[in-house]
Amino acid sequence: MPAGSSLYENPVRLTSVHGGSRIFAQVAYRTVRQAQTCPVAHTEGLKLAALYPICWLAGGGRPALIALRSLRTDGAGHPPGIAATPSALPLALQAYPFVVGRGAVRGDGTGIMLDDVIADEPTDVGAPILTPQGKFTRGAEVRVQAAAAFTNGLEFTEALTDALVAEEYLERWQIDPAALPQEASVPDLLVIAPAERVAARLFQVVRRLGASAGTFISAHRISLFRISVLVQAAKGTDSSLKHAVG
Amino acid sequence: MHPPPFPEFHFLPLEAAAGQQWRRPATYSFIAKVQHIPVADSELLQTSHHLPVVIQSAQDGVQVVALARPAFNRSSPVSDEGRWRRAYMPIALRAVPFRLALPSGPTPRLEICSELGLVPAAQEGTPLTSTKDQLQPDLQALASLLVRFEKGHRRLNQAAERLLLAGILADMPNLGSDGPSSYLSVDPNLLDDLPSRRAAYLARDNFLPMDLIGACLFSQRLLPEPMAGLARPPGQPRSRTGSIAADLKGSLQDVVDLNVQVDDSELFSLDAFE
Repeated sequence: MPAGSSLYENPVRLTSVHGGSRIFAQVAYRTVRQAQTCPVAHTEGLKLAALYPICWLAGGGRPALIALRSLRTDGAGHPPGIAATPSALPLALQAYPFVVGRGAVRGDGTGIMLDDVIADEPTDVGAPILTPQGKFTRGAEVRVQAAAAFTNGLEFTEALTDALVAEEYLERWQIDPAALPQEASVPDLLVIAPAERVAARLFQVVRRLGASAGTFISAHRISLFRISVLVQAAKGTDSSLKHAVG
Repeated sequence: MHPPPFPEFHFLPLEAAAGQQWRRPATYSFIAKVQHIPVADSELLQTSHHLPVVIQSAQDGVQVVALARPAFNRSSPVSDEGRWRRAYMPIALRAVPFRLALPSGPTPRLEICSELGLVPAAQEGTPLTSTKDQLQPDLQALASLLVRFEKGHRRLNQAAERLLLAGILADMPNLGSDGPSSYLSVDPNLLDDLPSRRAAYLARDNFLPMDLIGACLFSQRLLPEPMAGLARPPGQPRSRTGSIAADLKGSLQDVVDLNVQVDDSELFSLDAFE
């Protein structure tokens, strides 16, 4: 699925109608397995830097902070094994099929949104969302908490993005096309310009937003090294496809 | 002034080995004896993906190092046969069996490790022809690299001094200490406590102190859990909710076992950093 398209196909407000609906392991859903990008909160930077480049998706009013999970839009090219470990997923995918973002989650249990889709590769029989008494089941609660954790970090994430845009620190991420496999389709991505060009002004960003901003910027820089794993994964899929088709 | 790397082994000035032959180490099993490897600023972030980055505090100052001993890593950087298993090898280790003689003078001088680099008489190697005043031509590129490395290591050590001054480092008592020296890393709680107006000075002229904070925190997950503990300053609660400290609690541990892919793409070639 192409970057920039929402994670969600059919977001609906959670009501008692969904009480009997079942949710499944995150990896059972096509979105979790195949989404090329996924929104992330700044709080996840240091953790996700071990797995994905963390950068911004250009376009729209404000660049969106995302994890780049694959160089392909056809659902392939994901480094193996990652989607199957829920705690290694970005919060937005840990929460899935619950929807994250502004207005998505409110503490009183009303106004929670759900992506009403079918789990196309269920790994088990799933679990109901609500108990007969109308409370969240344990499995659903874990996801809602992940959604809340994402949403709690969103305001600072957006403030940090706004500060970086205002000071013109973000620039196009130039990925060398010669290093990419043919099937790669990379969206317009933004990264923080090399430190030696912006260092003097990052002082102001940290002064306004604190050490968390600095630590996140470092996590972003660390994460970019993961692009080479995505290149491997995209190429590896190419050759395996050739063998399957040929 | 920090000591030259690999004090666990015996190094000779090149001219003292003139007439003998050298070769690269056949295996990296020797890494089990190496306490730590100095790191340069150019390779800090790359290294943090593969080895724990910590700050050694010794009588002559602080230095930024990577821990490569199997005992200090959740997954050993060398195989049982002594093959290096990480996608990146720190510059100082790549240079073995050579190192730069310290303190460095106007002309760089190299030393060679007798145990790891000198070839026994009957075997093949590359001749050592350097004299006291003239470095042999085929080693001049390496000498230049090690001079740049030394400068980069010193810049990184200065960044570590800033972290020490900012009061955000804590002892890592479970890594053991070598007499008066010990290992330090960034304590997320202490970092949280640093007011923004002071934290900003860690991003003042260059981003290296901030990158060092990131590298220390990020690479802590590579340490075996019992070793990763930080000494708590007296009176500090064990952990707190909110911002960096809570975010890191436990969350970094989950991903360590997945990070075993070999990533040798030319997109981040080592040469680009030299």
